Amino acid sequence: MLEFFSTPNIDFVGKRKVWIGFSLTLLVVSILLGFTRGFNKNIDFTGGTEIQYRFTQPMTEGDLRGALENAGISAEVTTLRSTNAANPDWMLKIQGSEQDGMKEKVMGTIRTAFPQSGDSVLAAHTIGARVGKELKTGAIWSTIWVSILLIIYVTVRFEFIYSVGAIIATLHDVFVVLLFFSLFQWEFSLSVLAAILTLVGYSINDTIVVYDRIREQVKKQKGQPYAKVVNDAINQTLSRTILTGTTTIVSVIILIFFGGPSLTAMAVALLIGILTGTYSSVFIAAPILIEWHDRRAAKLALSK
Amino acid sequence: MEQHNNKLRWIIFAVIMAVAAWKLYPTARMAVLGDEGLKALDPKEQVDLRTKAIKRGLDLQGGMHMVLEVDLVELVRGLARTPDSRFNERLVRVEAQLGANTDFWEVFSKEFKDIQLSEYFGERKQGNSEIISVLKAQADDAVDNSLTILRNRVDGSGLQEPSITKQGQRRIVVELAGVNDPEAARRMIGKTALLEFKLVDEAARTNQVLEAVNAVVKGEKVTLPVDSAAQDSTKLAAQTDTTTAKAAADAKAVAKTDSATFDPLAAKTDTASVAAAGDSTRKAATFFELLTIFQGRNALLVSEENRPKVQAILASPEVQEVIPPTKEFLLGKMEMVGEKPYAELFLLDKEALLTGKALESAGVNINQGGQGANAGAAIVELSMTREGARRFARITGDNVNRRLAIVLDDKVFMAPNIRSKIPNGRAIIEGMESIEEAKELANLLKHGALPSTVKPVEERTVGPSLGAESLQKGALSALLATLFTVLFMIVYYKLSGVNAIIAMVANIFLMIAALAGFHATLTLPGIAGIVLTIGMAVDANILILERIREELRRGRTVRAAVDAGYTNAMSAIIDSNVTTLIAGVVLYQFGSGPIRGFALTLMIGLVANLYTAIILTRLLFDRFTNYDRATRLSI
Repeated sequence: MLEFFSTPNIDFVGKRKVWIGFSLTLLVVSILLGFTRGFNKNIDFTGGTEIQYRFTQPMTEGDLRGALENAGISAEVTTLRSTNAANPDWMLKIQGSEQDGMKEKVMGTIRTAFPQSGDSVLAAHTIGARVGKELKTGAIWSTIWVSILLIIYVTVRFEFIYSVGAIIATLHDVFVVLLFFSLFQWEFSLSVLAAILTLVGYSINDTIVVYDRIREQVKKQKGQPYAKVVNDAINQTLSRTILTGTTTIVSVIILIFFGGPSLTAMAVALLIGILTGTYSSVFIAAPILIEWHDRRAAKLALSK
Repeated sequence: MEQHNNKLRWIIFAVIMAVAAWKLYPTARMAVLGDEGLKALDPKEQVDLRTKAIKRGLDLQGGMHMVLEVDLVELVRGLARTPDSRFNERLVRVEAQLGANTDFWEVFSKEFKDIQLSEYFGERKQGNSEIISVLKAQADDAVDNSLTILRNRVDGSGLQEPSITKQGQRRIVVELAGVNDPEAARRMIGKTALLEFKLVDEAARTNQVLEAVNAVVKGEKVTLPVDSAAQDSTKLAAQTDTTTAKAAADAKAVAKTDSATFDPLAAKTDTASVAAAGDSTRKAATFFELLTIFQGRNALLVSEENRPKVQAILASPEVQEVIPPTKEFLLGKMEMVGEKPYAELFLLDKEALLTGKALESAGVNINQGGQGANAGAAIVELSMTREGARRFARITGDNVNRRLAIVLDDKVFMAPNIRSKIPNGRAIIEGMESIEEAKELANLLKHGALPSTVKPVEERTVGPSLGAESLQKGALSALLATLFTVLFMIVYYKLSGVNAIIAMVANIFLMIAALAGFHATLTLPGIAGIVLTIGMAVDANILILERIREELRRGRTVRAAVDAGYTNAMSAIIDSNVTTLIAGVVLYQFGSGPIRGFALTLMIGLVANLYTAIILTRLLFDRFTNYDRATRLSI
């Protein structure tokens, strides 16, 4: 029998205050960064035009940007990860709400400036600013809705405090992903948003499996210290946590390397989220139960 | 007992897989046929296959996606009689408050609470709420009318599977798959609509012109331009052959005429000539062979597959020469006649007698006075402006018993017969098939052109080469993820891992079949959803197998360990999957376009996973483990 852990007995919860403190710090940093540094939002949110180009002649960033600047267009010019390193595909981005005829203007400029370049437009996207505003509100609302529905479900199936722990662990994961996107100023698009909302589902899934074992062990190990019961539950589910984490993470990594440029950002968000989701189930969601339980026990003892 | 239950479960499994295979068949067939093979099929079969197979999203096959929105602020401003500075100021304030979830009308009525809206709209006695409800109806009309106009344009433009749908109350989503020239498509969608009234030529006259056209086509100076078109014309003859046979088969509603006896006036073309039609097609293709006569209505019809050829012939310079300079041929809407869609062909005066501007209003009513079949049918009532009424009286007086075509964007929307002189500018149009058709026409007449208040808010084009690349990369990722998971499970769990793998493959199969069954669109993020599901699909099995290992470690027998493994893992599997499903549902609700595709594949994957991971793997365990003898489990 091939096993990574047969009967592990690792103390996960002893240093719980450290883990919780660490995660709280991350949370605060993430929120602060979000406000100060903000996000590199793409045109899905800001409104604007994106054009994906392929040339038969290799181009340089300076050439393209220069030509556009001469025409009075301030564009962000980047290469796309592509199969052809010598002659990569290009992405031209022009942000802002005044986009009427922008696409045609850019295409005309490129054609005139580089008549020999063999340019072809692979894809183009123009979107108004208001649609982006709606996306943001929609995303916030759907996070709120997911949270409400999950609190109800988890409270019914477990206990209210479990739902609090699950939501905190999940929000923690969301904020860590946001932290990365803000810190490195990676492009934040509609698909990244979708990935984050999916993570909410994945993270909860992971947490619930640990909680399920805690629920079971609480019944089995009556009279044992609560922290020990929780730690046992974590150890018992550890191999599953690692195994499922592995298959999912490898799938997402495959997506990053083979899925093509349109999926990269989405897959990166998923990867970070799955990693923190696995961490938070063990190091955040479970310890929160212990803290709550101990405090309640202390209160009960006092009132007696 | 156990044994009996399992038998039933195997049967259910077989049924589920059979249904899935049946749902997947069209998709598989399309993939095998490829684009070329598909085109060779009978058109009806093509449509059938396309609707039943999984639709590829625009990001995977290339195409154009456009979202149009009614600008309500602009609409209200345009409708106001005398918008003064106070009115405009308030309207700007309304505009500033608009967000994603705000209702325009709510904000509007709040801002204009202290103002009598009747100063700007409607009649003096009307209260604010009454006026707002009228304005609301106007806005709805604007959206519906744009839908009519866009459908009218796109239908017959030669585009495959155009989809034009209403999203929410004020948006229209236009999806055009496989558009090669997005600029042309954009021009087509964005141009201002033109509504005109043109006189249809008398049948005898039409016939003369058609004879002339036919002579040109038959003569040596064949009009189909250049070499490639010459090839086309031979193909054309072959195709006419098959359609003739088909037409003869359902000759009840439609009769095909042959060139020798063609006469639009001879409405009662008998079945003998239908039979003869087969012979004539052996000769070189003539123009008449592309036309079909509809006995009941004495109308010239062009079938869908003949339409491009007819249009090409009519547009060629040689044919244009024999058409009188003041006349033009136009086609009508595609309508089902019998079992096939046909468009009527009209010869019209080039000059419009009236434009949409002559109309003051149009509405739908139910015919009260009519007799027989007409009683109770929907009619459209229209009234003209004073100037329009004057001209309308003259036109109708001069042309009693002729047909007046309502032409939208160079396509005949409808061509009612003029029964008598209409002196007062108030007319009714009868013969509508349904109240919806009447509404559509009334709406069109009332608003005339695509209201300028409908503006594009999003436009996305993907070239076909990028679409194909994306599909290829997505498929490769899915394949690699599957391979990795298969190896991982077999190395880690040995034969028990094989069980899980079978379940996972069944899961993927069911997931794709469900996509086909729901007529869902497969998008690039949807493929990402599939890849992620592959990674997650084994989770339930890992939970179960880890439990079984635990029980075995405790020294239980194989059977007891398997039983306990499944029972104990159940609550974790159900709870974790339901919570993820909840997140998926919300994502689906919130998402638009491609994101929905992702959420959908994720949800379908989860549900399929519950079945395959719990029921199917248990069946496999029971089938292949001899519990009574086995002392060890390959796990």
